[in-house]
Amino acid sequence: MAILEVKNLKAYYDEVQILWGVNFKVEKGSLTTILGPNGAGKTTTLKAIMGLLDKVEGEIIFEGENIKNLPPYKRVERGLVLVPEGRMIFPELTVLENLEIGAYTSKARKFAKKNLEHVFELFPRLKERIHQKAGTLSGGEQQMLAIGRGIMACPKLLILDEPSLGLAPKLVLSIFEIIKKLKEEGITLLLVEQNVHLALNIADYGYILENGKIVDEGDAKKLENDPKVLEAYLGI
Amino acid sequence: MSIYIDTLINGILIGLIYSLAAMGLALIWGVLKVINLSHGAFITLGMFFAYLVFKYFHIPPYISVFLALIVGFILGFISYFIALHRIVSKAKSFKEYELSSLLSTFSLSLIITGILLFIFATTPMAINLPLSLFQTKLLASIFSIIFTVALGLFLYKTYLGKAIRAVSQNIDAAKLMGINTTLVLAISFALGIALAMGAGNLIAMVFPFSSLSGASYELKSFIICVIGGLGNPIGTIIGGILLGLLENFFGLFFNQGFVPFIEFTILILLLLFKPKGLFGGSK
Ligand SMILES: Nc1ncnc2c1ncn2[C@@H]1O[C@H](COP(=O)(O)OP(=O)(O)O)[C@@H](O)[C@H]1O
Ligand SMILES: [Mg+2]
Repeated sequence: MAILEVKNLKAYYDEVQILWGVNFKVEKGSLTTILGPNGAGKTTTLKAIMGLLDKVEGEIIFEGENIKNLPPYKRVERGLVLVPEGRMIFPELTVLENLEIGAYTSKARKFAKKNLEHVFELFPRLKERIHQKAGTLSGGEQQMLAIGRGIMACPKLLILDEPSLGLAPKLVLSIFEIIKKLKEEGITLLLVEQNVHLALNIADYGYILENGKIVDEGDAKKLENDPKVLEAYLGI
Repeated sequence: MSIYIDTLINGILIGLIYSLAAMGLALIWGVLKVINLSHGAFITLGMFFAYLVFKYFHIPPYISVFLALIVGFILGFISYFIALHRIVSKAKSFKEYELSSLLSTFSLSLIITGILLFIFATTPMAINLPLSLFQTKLLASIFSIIFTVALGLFLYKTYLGKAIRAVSQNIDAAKLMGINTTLVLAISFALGIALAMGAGNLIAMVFPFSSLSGASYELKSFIICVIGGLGNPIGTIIGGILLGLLENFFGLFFNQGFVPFIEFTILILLLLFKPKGLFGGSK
């Protein structure tokens, strides 16, 4: 069953149309990935799903209900959680405060203690820096914090927007290890990535977004060998 | 020698009272990125609130201050939705409402001051308590400390307080945490107004006032925010004490009438050379 289904999604910045009828689904328990070149509209799609944009058309069905007209905080309360591009941590709050704020919804607060332990298990580095201001963390640590904050929210669907962006290769691999682990724990994931090869490697299903439209989709294994994908993104 | 000690103590006490007034301005400035030009008008409203409650119900200011906080919170909450919500919530960044928020809070100030002028003209008012001037200052400054500590605890120890700080740092990220940011903005504005009215209430216990008194306290609040930055209540307290000391020591040597001139000069110099506050506040 699809936990999220996006139908004919159109989005605009002021009068400029960016998305031209995007359709995709995320099956419960799966790891779905959306790939595409810079500027294709991936982040815009995710912002529209979270309710951060002013002008959006189409349907956003989450757990069988159209949530298109709900304010962002109500979407989060339902378990739709985004780890945004660029991390967007709160620089003047401590690491611990960032994680606490991640568990702001009433449901997440109940599980805050358990989830905090889980986050520290996944990212022992964060535990060492618990009382440090988040703004003083390195880029990799900030990404860990952003993902940790997402886990604190008790997500039914955890959406990650380019979690490996700007990280050193070694860190990229460890972030992908964590995503794999989250998948094995049964969390439903939607992953937007530039690292096409790594993303398809851990994903179940993938979509290719170009110029605000889905141009290709399929099982991750199939896409990995798709000559079109190979040519466009892997430079083969 | 004792005159210097006197001046020192007076300066600190007055400074603490100023800092409470400034706290309201700093909170609204820091969270909503709105320079609240109705701040002084709400301080004046707090003064008249203290006066009327004392006159008609015989409740002294050190008790009515709690009522002033509640009334201020309610008025602030309503004012947010009347004067600010539409311009703040539509904007993609606070740069877009820098000007319009000045206009709308200035309008609020005109309305409040206009009503006060209509009823009370500019007649000087004072509340006569069976306390010495020093005692009222001491009492008012103790309240200032209590409210400041309470605000600090609220901002740093509660979920809602942390949400307010999160909103002040990145409102989109705050939305993604499941925070109802509209409510948080309204509450922050309401708290800022509550502090302004509370401060006005306490000041009325110490000094005489009129319908136009708020303006000078608004100016002092600005200076304190610029000295202390908007980052946290501690900076505001230090800023308040510095200003209180400066005014009092200055008053030893010069005519008090020069004080606003000196204050403006400090404000301009600070804005020119230390726009982030003497202590490099976070915003
Ligand atoms: N805030 C914005 N205002 C106007 N245009 C934007 C804004 N953000 C992104 N765009 C434009 O929308 C298009 C899609 O951007 P985005 O969704 O960020 O792409 P991606 O995440 O796939 O790299 C780009 O052409 C970009 O220039
Ligand atoms: Mg993007």
